[in-house]
Amino acid sequence: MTLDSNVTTPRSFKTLSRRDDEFTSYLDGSFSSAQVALPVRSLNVGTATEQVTFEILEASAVEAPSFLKVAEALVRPTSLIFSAGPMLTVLSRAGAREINWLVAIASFIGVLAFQVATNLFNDYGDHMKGQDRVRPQGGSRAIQKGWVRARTVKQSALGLTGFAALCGVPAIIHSPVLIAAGLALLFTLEFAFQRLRLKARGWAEGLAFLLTGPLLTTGYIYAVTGRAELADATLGCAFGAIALLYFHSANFENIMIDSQAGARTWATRAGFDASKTFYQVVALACLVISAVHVIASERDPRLLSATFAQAVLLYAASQRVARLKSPLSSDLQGLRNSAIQLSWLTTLVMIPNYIWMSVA
Amino acid sequence: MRRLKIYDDQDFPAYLPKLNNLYDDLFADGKGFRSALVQKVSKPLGLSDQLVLLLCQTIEFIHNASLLHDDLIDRSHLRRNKPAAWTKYTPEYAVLAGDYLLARVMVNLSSHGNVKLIQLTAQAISDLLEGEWIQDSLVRDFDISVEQLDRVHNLKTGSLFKWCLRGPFVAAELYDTEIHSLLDECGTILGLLFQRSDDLLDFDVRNYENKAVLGDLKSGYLNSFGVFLTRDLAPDVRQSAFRAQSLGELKSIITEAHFDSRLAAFDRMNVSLIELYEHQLERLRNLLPTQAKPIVDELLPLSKPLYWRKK
Repeated sequence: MTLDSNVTTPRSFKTLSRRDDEFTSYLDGSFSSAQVALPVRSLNVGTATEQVTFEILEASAVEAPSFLKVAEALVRPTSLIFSAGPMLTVLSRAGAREINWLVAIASFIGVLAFQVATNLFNDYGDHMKGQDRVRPQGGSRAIQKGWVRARTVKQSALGLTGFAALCGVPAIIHSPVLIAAGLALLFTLEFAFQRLRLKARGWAEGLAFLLTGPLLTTGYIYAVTGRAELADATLGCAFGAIALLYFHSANFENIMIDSQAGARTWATRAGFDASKTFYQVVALACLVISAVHVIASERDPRLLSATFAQAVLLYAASQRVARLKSPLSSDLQGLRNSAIQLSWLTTLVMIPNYIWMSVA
Repeated sequence: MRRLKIYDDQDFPAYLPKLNNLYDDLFADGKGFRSALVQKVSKPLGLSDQLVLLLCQTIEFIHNASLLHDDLIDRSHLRRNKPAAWTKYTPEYAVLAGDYLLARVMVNLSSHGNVKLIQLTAQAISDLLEGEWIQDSLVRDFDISVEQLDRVHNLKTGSLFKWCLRGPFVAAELYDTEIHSLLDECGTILGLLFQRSDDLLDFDVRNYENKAVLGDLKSGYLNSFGVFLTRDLAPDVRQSAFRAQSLGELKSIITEAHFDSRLAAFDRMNVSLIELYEHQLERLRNLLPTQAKPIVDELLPLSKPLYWRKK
């Protein structure tokens, strides 16, 4: 419970219960245009008796960073590699296949817009449901710090979803069968809205593997070239495994809070020590899948450079995990960044190799 | 507030060697803050003297059991300026004496027969132990954040403060969920204020009791003020600060001006917490039955002396 140490004037607090008519308007920031309500304490989160204590500030008193910084926090550009990486890499291995560049560019932008929209819906949903109000590291924190109103985040997410759908039109005109892929992509929104409670049931990791892995690479290359190969799918599996590592890292970081809140993730189910082991297993799986893709599907040893680079990064991350002594250890915080770095590394090493191979 | 005698010689078996002497030493110089808090809440609720004694005994037994174990875990040689029990007697006796106090708590409460009170107490002990466990695993972690430490303190320190506020209500068979949520919240804040104030003593800030200085840092534990003090420093300065062997050396590394400005910011953060506590108590006043409303007036003045350590 760290309240801002820069404020010197007495604070004004207001507590509302979920039963109060004003509750939603304070939470989504629509109660006033001149003031903002920062949630400083949430009790009984997720129940009918939920209560939130807001600190009421004049909007002008909020020390928000520049628009670009706020946008960066919300968009999380480095994490866009989880969709950009697989698409760019599979495109680079298209080889002699004929590429429809309009579909390639429009679909690429559309998928990225969709991922950003999902991030925004996720921020909005987790704020309204309370998950990001009790997790000190949850989400972008832009809403909780008063940099942006929750309602604005939701509206931006809706706008981006519409834009993403428009970007998908060329692909669907080109190959109507891709409507199915578009519908599959909508599953991504489950991460934000949790209507099927897949996250709570521990299915999030599996869903992330498929949606950022084989489904994305094969769906994208099929849209762009009209053909998908087995190696496109195995390449997707390599990226999907990295996304799996990311989700497990994120859940592992929150193991204590999720456990206290009764949330069932793979990390809370396995426990602290088994989660460490599971991290090492997934890290090893990343390497094995990458090696299988290179040796069995591509049959070209040049691509092993990506596997070796992954091994170096994963060794360091695994050592860090092995040292963990506590669910609150500072080494655990930010563990997910290793998976982001891994995705960047894989993309940046594989693409030049594929281009080299196609030129040769 | 009347100072209760927490236990009689008959409470513990006389045939066990050293046990009563160990407890006499342990309980002799305690401030009894937690039992005083219990009394403040119990009186307006009209609890009998016998029941108030049971509650006070419960909280003091748990607190002192935790001290016996804590000193051994931390290898602290002094407790209240006297040799810690594990050094004066033996580590084995210190562990057993702590366990025995916790067992007595359960014997006494189960004799009283309020199952919800037993449940609340067992949960407090469980939280306390979780906090101890996690705190021990954070030794030598110099990149910890205040938020992470708050989670530990909420378990370790906050659990007993929460019990002090909720225990009397449960004993009076008042189970309103909303009231208990607020009491929980107020206990959490009191626990944090107490812990952060205690953490300041380690840096000789408002150290009116002349407690040993820099003990936490020297034993590899970065407390909440330590985090606040060092988090914005350059990496090499931070590393030097963590190796400081005296407060003077620390201040010469980070500069006196930096120390003072961080202390002022730390105080401002906790003044905000005090304001939040007062806000929550006013909400509590609206929810309490008429005869219990004076509890708020008893609790309102507590937060400031708890943090500022007024003599």
